[in-house]
Amino acid sequence: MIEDIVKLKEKGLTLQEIAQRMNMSLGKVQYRWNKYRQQQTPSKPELTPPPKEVQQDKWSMPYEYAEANVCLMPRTPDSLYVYWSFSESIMQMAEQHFRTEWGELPVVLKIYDVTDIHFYGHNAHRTFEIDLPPMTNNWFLQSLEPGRTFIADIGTRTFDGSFFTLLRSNPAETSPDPYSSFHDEKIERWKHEDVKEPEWLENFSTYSYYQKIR
Amino acid sequence: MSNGYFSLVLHAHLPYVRHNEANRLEERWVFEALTETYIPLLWVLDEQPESLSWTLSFSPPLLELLNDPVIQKRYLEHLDLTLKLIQKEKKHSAEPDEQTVIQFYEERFKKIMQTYQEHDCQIIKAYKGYMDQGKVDCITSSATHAFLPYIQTEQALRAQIISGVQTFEKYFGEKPTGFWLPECAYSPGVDKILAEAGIRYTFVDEETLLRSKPVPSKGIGAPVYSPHGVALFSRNQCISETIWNSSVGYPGDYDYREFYRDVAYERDFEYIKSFIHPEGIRIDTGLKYWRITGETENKDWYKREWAINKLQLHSDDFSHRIKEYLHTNKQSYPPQLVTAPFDAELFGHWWFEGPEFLLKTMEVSLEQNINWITPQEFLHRHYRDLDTVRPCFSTWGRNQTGEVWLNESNAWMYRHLHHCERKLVQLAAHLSKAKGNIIVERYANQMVREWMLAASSDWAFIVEGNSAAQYAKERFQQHIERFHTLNESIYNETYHPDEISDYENEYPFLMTDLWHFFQNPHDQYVESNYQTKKDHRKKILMLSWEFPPMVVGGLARHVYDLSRKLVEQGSEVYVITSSVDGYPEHEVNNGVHVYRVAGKQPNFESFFHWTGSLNIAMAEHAISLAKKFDFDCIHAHDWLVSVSALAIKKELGIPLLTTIHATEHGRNNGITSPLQYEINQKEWELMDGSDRLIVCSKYMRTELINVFQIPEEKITILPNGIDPDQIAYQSNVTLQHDEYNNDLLLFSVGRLVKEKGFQTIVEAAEILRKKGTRVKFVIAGKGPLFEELNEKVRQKGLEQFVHLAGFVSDEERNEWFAKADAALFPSHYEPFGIVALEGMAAGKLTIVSDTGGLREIIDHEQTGLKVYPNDPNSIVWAVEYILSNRERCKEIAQNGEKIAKTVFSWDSIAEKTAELYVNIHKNKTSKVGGIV
Repeated sequence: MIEDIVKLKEKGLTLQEIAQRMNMSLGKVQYRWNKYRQQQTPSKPELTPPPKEVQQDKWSMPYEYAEANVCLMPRTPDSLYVYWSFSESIMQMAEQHFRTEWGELPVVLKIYDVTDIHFYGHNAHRTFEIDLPPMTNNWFLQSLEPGRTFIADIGTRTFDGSFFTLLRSNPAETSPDPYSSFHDEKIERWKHEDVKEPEWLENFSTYSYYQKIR
Repeated sequence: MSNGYFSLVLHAHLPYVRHNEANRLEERWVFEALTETYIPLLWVLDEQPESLSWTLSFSPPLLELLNDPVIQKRYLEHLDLTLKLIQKEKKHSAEPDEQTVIQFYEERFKKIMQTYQEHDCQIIKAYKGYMDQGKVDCITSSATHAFLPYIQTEQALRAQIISGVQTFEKYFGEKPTGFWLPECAYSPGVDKILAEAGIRYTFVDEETLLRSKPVPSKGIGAPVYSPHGVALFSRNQCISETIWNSSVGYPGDYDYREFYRDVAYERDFEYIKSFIHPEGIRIDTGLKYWRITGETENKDWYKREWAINKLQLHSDDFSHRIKEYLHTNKQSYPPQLVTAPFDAELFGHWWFEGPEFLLKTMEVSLEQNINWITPQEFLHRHYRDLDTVRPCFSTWGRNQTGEVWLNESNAWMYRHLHHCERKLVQLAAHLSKAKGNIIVERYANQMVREWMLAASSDWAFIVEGNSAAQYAKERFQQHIERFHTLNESIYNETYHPDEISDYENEYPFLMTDLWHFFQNPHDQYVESNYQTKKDHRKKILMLSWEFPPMVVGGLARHVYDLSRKLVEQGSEVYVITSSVDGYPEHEVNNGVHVYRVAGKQPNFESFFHWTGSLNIAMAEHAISLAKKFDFDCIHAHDWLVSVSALAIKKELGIPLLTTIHATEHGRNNGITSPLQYEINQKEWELMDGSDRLIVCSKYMRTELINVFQIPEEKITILPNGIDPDQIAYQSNVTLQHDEYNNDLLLFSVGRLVKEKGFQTIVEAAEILRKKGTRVKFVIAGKGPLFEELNEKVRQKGLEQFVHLAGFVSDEERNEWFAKADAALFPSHYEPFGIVALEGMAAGKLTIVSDTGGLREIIDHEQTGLKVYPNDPNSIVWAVEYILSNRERCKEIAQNGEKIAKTVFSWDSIAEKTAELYVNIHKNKTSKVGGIV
């Protein structure tokens, strides 16, 4: 199988395209390709000093970016979509904290219903967990309750089974059912200028590069 | 008066498909849409009844395409070629029915050519002319028709909306009042930016209104205001379906022209080859001679008069339905409004006779007194009569959800688009200070363009629908890759005018200033307030889980005193510590920058995992701070920050220096429980991954060498320091002559835990009572042993001799020091013993166990007294020594005070620590420890 992937890759196809052509999941192709690349790298690097001034590879669209990121997106009244990626340092910290290789750590998705809550990690209305298959970096959350706000954590499990958060998403909403509300306090307060900021979730926030620097 | 309104809205859009190379298949989309829709709609406007008006949206990519001289020239060539083909067809045809159709096309194409040339190829100018006459309201959409709810940042949303509006302004000379939401996709917050852009109305699906909070009082019978004050006109599904629906809609009538049969596929290759794609690919010529006929592959000739008859029937039917709907759904005020929005290309391109249908319908409406109104006019009349509601996320796609643009086939795209958005914000933050580099700004603008072009909702739609999926994927990937290649050129400083010109020429789209949309005030503030000064001040990143006001052990105090002294001596110190309720996330305390962070699970039951969670947050914070602050090294304190310290070291590539204050092995006299084992491992990992270790005593160094096999040369001994001000007793009031004043008073303070050895005091008191010595021991502090000690004192009836004072404030502690004759610290385990220094600095004779760090602080009978740990008789000896050597003891106390205030002053310790920061670069390793 890896021979086919290599052949297609040499033809200039992206992993995405190869996955489609071979009718395999992208994760699988990515995994095989990485493994192959690792095997290709000589185990004793000192024997082959890297040639200087190599023609720089053209930037090509990766499968994912090595950055700590989770994004939860609205979709239907009963489903949401979440994708994520880890940074090197998050993976290293998880390995070090649990003293376990990254590949051995279970990856778990935890969903919190945080409707009208200022969520700090422990005060959700309801939560549920999904054990993810390996090599997953996105998930369609199905059968959710309409008209609720959710947050998704990507994490792992401690040895005694507790959920341990590695990354936390933005909040996102499932659309409410039709005719679900005939009176709304929040819009009343907003109309009468009793509040300065909307009391509901607006999808977009100003992203700041130096967010943590005051 | 009025019995309701009807409003027609068309939205014209094509993705930006201009390519420098000629004969790209996708460019034909523009030609086909011009021939079949955009030019025939001009004919409609020319002929439509005076009193009617409707709304037409042009997406910015379409505006740019239709005004592109290259496209205009190529379209003329395309028309020429088609007219040539018609001539050839005329000669070729022998069939009378066919000749009639060819004749029809000949006239039609001549008219198209004539219209196009009459307007000097400036189609948009022609529309503007009709707009000025009041026949149509033109509006626009987002810059590249991005699916707005799936944009991540407000900056990117603003870029899409505002630059869309600006493009419209460029061609129409005025701002649009309305805006077409691509795919009618609304989500809360979109309206905020629309309002900011001066947009008064937009369009959503009717279900958007029905799912709003609250449901509007008129249901879907009237527009509503969004929270930020944009009027939302809702698509009436019932009326729209009569045209839209692929199975029962009018366009499927058997007498209308068949879309999928074109002469391109009917003729011999040799005959047709010069009229199709130069590479021999058969592509539509636009000459389609057949009618739908039925569910058969054998299509009959297109009969123009039959189609015209059907148009009359269908226009009558459509008007009848509108009328009936308005009658059935009559409402008081404002009158019922039916809004029917469609893709413009449905009329003409997909439904060949569509434009004529519109014209006919207008005529019938006039006869039947159906009031046409534009949203603009509606608002003019009824702006006071509308509800304000909170609509939710919805679209006009399948099930009114996002599933067409977000599903298994296209979800992968958003990761890349969002990544671009954040990169643009990052770039804008950097550019705001590097003013004036025009080339870099051109790169930045082009990057915005590339992101915009990738963000077009068309790609996700096409990939989902599988027609032209390959092209869509390629285009998407191409723009993402171009984006990053440009980004790399900026950061590698290989940018060049030639390169950027090539990029700009390839997609000459929205050639305006775009990058500034991605700026934000906070980033600009940080850029201007934290100039990277080229000074020699070392920047130290200090990691400690406790910091005042959070004080658990001596660590908080230590880090606080060391940090501010370092700052005083000219370093910059950034402390990252755990958050404390009610205390700021960031403060500058005595010049020290303190950042207090919380883990994502701040109530984690297990303390060990709580620290893990905290460490992830600390590292994340540190790495973010490093975007602006060029840290020289990390200074970590104890195992609790091990995980973050090692991760930060690796990420930032700076040296790590660690102070080990105590070890789990030392505290417990060995490792017995699994948790102790884990902590012991963390300690080892931290020591192993550090470039230099500081301990406070020889005793601790020996422990590190023996227990952890740490090489001796890696360890520096720096004692803990003391700040005399902290123990000065401020009160002016003379101490009261109370019961203690006559007795010898020995004061002890510390956590009531076993290793502090306070139980030995109780035993010593018992012996002293037997001997009849008048002495009083006061033990201040709280801890797990409090009850046990208290019980012991009561059992032995030693209340007169031993007093457990419980928790004391710093003030009270200082008062006790002042009152006491001596300070006593009989610990079994003490890595350092800062309390002993406090006793000495307070000017009191200090008695310590001959163990651990305590042993090194005191020189027996010179600067204090030493007793044997765990030996009550030794304490008895010390008491008796004091009683019989009062004068000598005063001298010893004075010597002790001098030593404490010099050798153990923070001034000298901070100086030595700063030297380590300088030297650590010399023996820095990239080691970050492994997993054991």
